[in-house]
Amino acid sequence: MTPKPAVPLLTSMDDIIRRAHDISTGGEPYIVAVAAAHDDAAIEAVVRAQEEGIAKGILFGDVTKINSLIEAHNANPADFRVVATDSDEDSADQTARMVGAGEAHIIMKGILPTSKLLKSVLKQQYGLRRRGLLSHTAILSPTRYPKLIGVTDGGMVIKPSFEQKIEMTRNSVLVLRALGVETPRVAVLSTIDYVVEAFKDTFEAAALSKMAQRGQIKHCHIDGPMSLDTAIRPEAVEYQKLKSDVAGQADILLAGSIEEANVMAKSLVLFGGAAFAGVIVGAGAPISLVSRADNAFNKLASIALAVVLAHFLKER
Amino acid sequence: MHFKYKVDKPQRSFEDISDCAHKLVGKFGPYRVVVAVGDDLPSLQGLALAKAQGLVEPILVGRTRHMRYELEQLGESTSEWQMIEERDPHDATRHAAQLVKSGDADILMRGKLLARDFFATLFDKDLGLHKPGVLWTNIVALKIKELDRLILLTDCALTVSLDLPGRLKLIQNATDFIQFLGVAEPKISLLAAVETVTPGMPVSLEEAVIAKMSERGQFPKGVSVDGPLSLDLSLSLNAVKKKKMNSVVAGAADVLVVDSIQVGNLLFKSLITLCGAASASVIVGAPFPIILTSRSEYPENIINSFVLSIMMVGEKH
Repeated sequence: MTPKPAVPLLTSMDDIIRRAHDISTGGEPYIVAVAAAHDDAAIEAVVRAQEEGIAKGILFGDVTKINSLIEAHNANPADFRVVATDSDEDSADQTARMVGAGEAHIIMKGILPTSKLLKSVLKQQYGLRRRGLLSHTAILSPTRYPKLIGVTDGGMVIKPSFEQKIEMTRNSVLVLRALGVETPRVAVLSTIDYVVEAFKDTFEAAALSKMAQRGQIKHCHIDGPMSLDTAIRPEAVEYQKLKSDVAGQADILLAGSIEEANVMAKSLVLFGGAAFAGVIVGAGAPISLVSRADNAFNKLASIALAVVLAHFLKER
Repeated sequence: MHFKYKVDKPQRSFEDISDCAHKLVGKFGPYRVVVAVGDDLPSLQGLALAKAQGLVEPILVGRTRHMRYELEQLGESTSEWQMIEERDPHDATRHAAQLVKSGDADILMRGKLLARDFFATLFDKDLGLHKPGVLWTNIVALKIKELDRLILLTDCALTVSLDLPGRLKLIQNATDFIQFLGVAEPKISLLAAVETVTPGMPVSLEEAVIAKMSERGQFPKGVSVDGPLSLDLSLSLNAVKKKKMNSVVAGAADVLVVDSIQVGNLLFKSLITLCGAASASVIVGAPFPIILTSRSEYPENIINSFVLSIMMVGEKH
């Protein structure tokens, strides 16, 4: 048996975009299927991704609107596959069917409620349903941190249970491994670094750490409870005299609620000079959501991240 | 506590606050800061800097031997530091609090003990610091490069699982504080992950209720409260424009109110460690200023906490 080729380590958002480009131009291009694609943010992202050789798009939805949006972004509608659908449900179903059949590799949300898209994705007949949880991982590149950092979950799971935290960790670990981090270091965040009776989240953090030590959660180091400064600042670790293979050098921050992860990620984008890419993991294919609040680069980065992840899952 | 000091203009930066503090110190001499469990290296670093600037006169309560050792690490001459021997952290906290209560010190500072142990001692009935009906809350003042003003974030450290009346008191404390800093008509944002009221997110429901109270004029005149609002919609006019939000508070918040200290603590630490924000962290609701910095605080942020606390004490008699 020949060993699998090592996954190259990516340390910046530009690295992710370059890697996605290499993947899609080195072989068959990866294809993004967009549900309810008559959405400015989604079209902008797909047009750009196709221009940059990162992925090709198949667009489901209102053909007239889609074509005019493509033109609005200075591209030619003839360069895209556009499929007419007559409702959000139809659009979501066709997207899921196409990706489930392997004719496209990434699911992307256009202008429809996330719940409708996920309902189709989880339909048994399309073969995209998996046992685990669907959760969101954000990849960020703050200028004051020497590497990329993952934050979960600022977009899907509102208040994770202990079991959901395990699944969220597994999903984020997959994303970081796709970025070439062989054994990602996961910090389970809390306000303090000690197990304290008054804070139940510190119990769960301790249990998660032990599970990783015992090999129950694989391919990662987990440590917690840990405050953010301990997770990312080597000086804080030194001061606290902590022995930890995560503290000061975390690759993934596991937060206790959607509010925590969301404000954290947004603070880094607004004030930390970070680019942002997000992906939903846990189905048979990566799911990409871009918001109109994202800038053009971050939209492109999200698609690139999905391509890199889809490729990793395929080669694995 | 009642803030006696009156600012002559809105305080928009730590330089503004520092100017006020230096004026006070010029008149009344250094303010006395008493540290409960004083052998805390980051606190001592901050204290040493502030002492050298003539801002504060430190009083350290704790194990003298340990405090001496840490001061020597910093190259400080230990004979110039006032120290009081208390071996037990609980006793050290009591002793330190009593010094401020009796007027022998001005400001209390948490040293090397867990915040919850520190506050458990301060809440002891017989100390008489915690008045019924008054909520103690943590307020962090932040200066983010990209913003033209100071913003307050509350609560990052102290209150756990507040009910609606509790949250209203938290907002009241923050309102009093930002008005003390000269912002007469503050805009207060209730932070959430998204700006939509979402039944699956209990936070968003409570925030919508509080926002409606503001709409109905149930807050003091001039105070605007809105939520749920995400961080970008609270602070970025660009995001507000893109999303076509219609809100007085959106993009212009002076105060960010979070629903749990987990959110507050994480946002605070993200802003200071990864976004280069300057900060000061204090407790309000007590009869005197209490400084609660994080356990690996940057010395310059400890100085910011001192100048803010000196302003809170105001003119001395």
